[in-house]
Amino acid sequence: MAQTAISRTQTTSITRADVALGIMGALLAAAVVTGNVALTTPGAALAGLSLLVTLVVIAFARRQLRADPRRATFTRLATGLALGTLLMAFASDALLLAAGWIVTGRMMAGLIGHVGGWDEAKDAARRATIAFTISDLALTGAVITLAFIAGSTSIVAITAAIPAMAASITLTAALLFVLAAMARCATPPFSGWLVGSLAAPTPVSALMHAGFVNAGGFLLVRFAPVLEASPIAGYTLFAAGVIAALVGSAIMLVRSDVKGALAASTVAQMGFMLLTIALGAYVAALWHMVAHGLFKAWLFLGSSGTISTAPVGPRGLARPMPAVIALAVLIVMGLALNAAIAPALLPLGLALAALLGALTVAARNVGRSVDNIALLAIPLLLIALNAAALTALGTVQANAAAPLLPPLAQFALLSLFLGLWVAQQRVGAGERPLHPAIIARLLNVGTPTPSSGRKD
Amino acid sequence: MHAITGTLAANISGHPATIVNHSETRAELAALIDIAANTVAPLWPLDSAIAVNPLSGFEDLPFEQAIGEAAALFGARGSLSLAQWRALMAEGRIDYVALRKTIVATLGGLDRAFASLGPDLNAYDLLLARLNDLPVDDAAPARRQLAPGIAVLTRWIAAFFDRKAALPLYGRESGLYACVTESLRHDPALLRLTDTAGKALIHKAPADPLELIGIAMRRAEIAQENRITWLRSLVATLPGWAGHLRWRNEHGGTTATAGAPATMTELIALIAMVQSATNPALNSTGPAPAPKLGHLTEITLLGHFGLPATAPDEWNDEARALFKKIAWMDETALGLIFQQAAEASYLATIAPKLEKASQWRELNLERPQAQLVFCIDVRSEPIRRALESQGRFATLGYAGFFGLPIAINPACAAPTRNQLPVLLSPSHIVPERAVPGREAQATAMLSRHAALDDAQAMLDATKGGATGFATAEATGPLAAIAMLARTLAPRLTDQVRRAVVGERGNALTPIACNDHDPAFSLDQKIAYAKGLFALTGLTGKTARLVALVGHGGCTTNNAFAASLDCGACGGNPGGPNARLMAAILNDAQVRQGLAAQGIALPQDTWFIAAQHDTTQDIVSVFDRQLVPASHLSDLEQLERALTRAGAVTRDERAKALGRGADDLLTGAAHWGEVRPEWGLSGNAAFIIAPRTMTKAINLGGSAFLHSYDWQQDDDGSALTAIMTAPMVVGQWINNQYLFSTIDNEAYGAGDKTTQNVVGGFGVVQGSGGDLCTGLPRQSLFRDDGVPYHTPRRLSVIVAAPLQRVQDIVLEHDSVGRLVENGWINLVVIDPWKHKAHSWVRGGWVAQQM
Repeated sequence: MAQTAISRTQTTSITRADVALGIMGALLAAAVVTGNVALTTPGAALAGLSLLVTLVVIAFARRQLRADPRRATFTRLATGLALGTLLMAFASDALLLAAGWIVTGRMMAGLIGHVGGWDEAKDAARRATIAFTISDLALTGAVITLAFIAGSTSIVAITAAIPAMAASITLTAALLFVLAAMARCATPPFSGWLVGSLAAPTPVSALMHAGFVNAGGFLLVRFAPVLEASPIAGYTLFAAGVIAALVGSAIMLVRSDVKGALAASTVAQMGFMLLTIALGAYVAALWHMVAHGLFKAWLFLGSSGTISTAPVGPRGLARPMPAVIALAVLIVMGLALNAAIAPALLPLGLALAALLGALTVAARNVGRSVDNIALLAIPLLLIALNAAALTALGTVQANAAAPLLPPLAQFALLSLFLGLWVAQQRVGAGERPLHPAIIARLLNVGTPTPSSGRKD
Repeated sequence: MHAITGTLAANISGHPATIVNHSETRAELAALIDIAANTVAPLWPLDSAIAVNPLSGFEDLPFEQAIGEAAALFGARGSLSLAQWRALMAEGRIDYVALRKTIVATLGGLDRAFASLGPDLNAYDLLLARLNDLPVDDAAPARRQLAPGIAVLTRWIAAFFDRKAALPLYGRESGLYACVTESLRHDPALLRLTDTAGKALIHKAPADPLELIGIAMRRAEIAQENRITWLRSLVATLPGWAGHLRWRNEHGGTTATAGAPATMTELIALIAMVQSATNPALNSTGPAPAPKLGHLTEITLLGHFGLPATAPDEWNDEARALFKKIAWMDETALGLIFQQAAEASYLATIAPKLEKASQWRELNLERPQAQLVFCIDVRSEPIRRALESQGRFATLGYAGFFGLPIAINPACAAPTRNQLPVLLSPSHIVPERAVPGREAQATAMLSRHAALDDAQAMLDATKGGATGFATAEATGPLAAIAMLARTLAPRLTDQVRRAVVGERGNALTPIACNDHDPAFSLDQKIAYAKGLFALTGLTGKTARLVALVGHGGCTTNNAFAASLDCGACGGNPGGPNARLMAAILNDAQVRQGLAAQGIALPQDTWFIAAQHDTTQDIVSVFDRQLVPASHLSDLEQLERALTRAGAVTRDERAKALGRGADDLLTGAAHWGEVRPEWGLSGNAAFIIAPRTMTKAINLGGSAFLHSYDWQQDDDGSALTAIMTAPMVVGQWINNQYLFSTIDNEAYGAGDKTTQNVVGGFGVVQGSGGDLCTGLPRQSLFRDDGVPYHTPRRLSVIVAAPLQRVQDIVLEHDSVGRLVENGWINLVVIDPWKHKAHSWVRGGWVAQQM
């Protein structure tokens, strides 16, 4: 009886989720009591994001999951996830941080498999567990290696000891950190767990953006000196970020389901965050981590409201606007190659392109009324707000002393992104079809590999 | 009962009489495909959700046979589980006496039911034990799982049918089959699932889908007589997408199919190709029949009565046969007994009251304060009841499009939308114009709307690709504010949104002008006006104020929002139709025309239009500025009464939802709410009678109420119109709710929280698969998992002479089919003896209470 099933979940006092929640709480309390905490900028950013989104999601889920027999488990796991994220954010001890990392992974895998008895959910949880385990092993390996050499598990002590370490040690540790972050951030080849996690209820998808999928960015900024000590790891991270940004954008383009497109977009955004870190722009990366987390949680929670009548006009920008915008951005940024903003050439260039794109759309109907003139102001205001936030964040968090790539290389990268963006606008507008073989591979990301396939 | 237990056999042997073929000609195969296409009902997109009977293709079969056949074909359940029925029984939703009578009737009468089988044992006790006592396993219906190859196929089908949510597929304009076949050839996920022969089939697939179906049929070794069954099973593999395709071709119009043609033949060919290529072993048998546990049940059943397994050996043959029949009844057959008992319980509660009330005549001939014409929707009943208790208010029920076959062409860039039942096609395209005197307000509002659309377009244009990174960063802070506001202060947020967007109805109105072809002539206006009087039995002695009340739901972030709107208005709010009809009825020329036809309205009658918000129970009046000063005090009184009636109704509904009345207002504005209202859950009856007959009965929102006065309908044409249109729509709704409840995974849309909007027009579960049909679980089941909606077929209760109803049933196949095959329970209360009669297989039977 469904009734008895529910009363059972309510009366049974301790569940696995309770145990996990308890351990998390105890660990966090222990960390605070023993003084193993530190307030850092990446930590504060992660904690703030986590608390805000978790609060909203739990309040949202009280209604959304009203008929879900496992709603209590969801709330426990969501709370546990937030506590674990706080532990990660404020731990001054690398082992504590790793503990938070590992436990949040288990909890997220549990949340992804929330709908028990559904093969798609079980499969998604299994895939997530594999990705998270790789991530956990990599992080644990890195932390133990560094702690062993440094003779301390304190993050401050470890980072202080970096310059004295052998290059092979720092390289190994840095590569392990990159691997840990990549698995968490669902960059290729780990994208499957995220894109395939849609069997989870909507609140879970939103919760992923509360400092879970984006914790990779936090981790790398927190251990920035390790990364800076090994350029090879930096280039690896950079490559992984670029690939994720491109692949994620491409998957987003072919997904006709709203949640699939959002998940694919997260892959791209995480790629961008990681490449920003590789470039040494930690401030921009942290701001991206927070702002994108809020943005994507909002879109996921509102994803049921995307039913609409068939759109009348074409999507995206009309030809030749994308090419004109791209050219304009490249000219401006080319002129700025020797200016003070040169180290942040890539993010600035892309922001300019977004601004011009938005303004082009708004300008289509300008002159119709005052409202549309006001509309022109919105993107400008938002960009200004961003600049202010970045500046404020910049006062408490330093970027890497030496950028990974010279401005000219960034310019080349910007050209690549904008070129693909122009192509993508044409594909999206239907002017240029994508080959089915490419679409097939993009559509298949995150779907179960049919090894266990033939069921009937 | 053997009809049900024997359904699988019948299903395998196929429909008799359809196949007498010798050669596989193309024409034959094409004809079979046309038949197979009707296996699924058309599935409307969610922006104009229309309730349909998912088994509409089975309506030419008796209900009890159809549920069994459909269950086998769709892999669905034929009934609620016994455990669920028992829970409903325990809640008193099935009357014990009704269950007794149904059991006796099932067993073939009292003699057979109570004849002694052995010592202290009769068939009645056996069957009752099976229904109520024997242990059952209560597994919820499993989530649908597609075969891996079909799952791959659905990704391409979704991409093909997409409405600009993603990029257009290569070769879309060459049609579904050509486009998807070419794509499948390049899909490694599919090719991995195939053997050499399967790969060859995909790579060398003929260009003609019909030819491919022939090849696949030979590969699967389908015998001649099994072809139709095989084709039906292919359609039933993806009922959602097949239903969407039917809607597209039959109801979507040219805009829906432009640039991407698709036929059922093509869809069947694709499914056949993938199935054949990935699973050569699969043949016509379809889903494997569940193992029969009859022997086990026999032993358990005997054990329940303390008898050994050998006990039947001592009985006579007849007793043994009866015992075996009872022990071998499946859940579908047993569930049907509960369902029939639930229907009987309902009728037993209301039929005697209706019989009694039919003796009363409206003696109080005092002119009512106001008359209100509501939609027949079951949600109108509670507020009508509440309003009538507020004073001398008379209410009527009429189809919510008020008889106006129109489509509305909005003043903004949005496409034209149909505001009429899907059984009809629009005769007029009505433009939306500024309310006279409010042109500036309308312009300002439209410009604000356009600006909001542009803001959305800005986000859409920049959120993907390289610009998406900056867009996410820039929008993040706004998103945080929006999230907090929508979650923590939903009602305030909604008020702000309304203030910014403005009330559309205040500034814009539909206008019946003659600008469009065909023109909206005076004669037509008079005819539509007359229809209101003829069908509802409203006489020319109207009150000073007559309100036409349309309805619409109020919900946010809800893919199924349109399912809460007016089904008679094509899944849109009914306000515009009410306004147009009120304007027509206030037109002096129309009044003259009506008078010429014998309907002379009093000079002082004024028609107003209103809309009932069924989620919040707020009734708002349109075009207040047009109301003459002489009628303002009448309007004020009416509005006060409506406010009080709304509060009463809201309290009543809040109890049914298990929440506070205030929480309903919050739920309407909250983006996390999955059950803003119960919608039409609980619907059980369609009553065609004057309101005097139902007025004294609390129907608890279970009945569609269509006003009708047989004495004003000399030739029966009004009753014919009601029974062939609104009643059929009521049956669609009833069956949608019934089947979505019986098996929410197969016939319904499943859990709302794991739904995923696809293509902008539908939902799938999780990351993809078949398009969801029917209604989501949260709309039908309470939080504790017990069905709120009791599956009961629609009881159509007509107050009219038996002969008149019989003539309609026999003359109109669309009605006769439903009645004869038991898709509705037709009950007529004759106006002379005031007795209820049920139609049972070809004739009238006095209703036993």
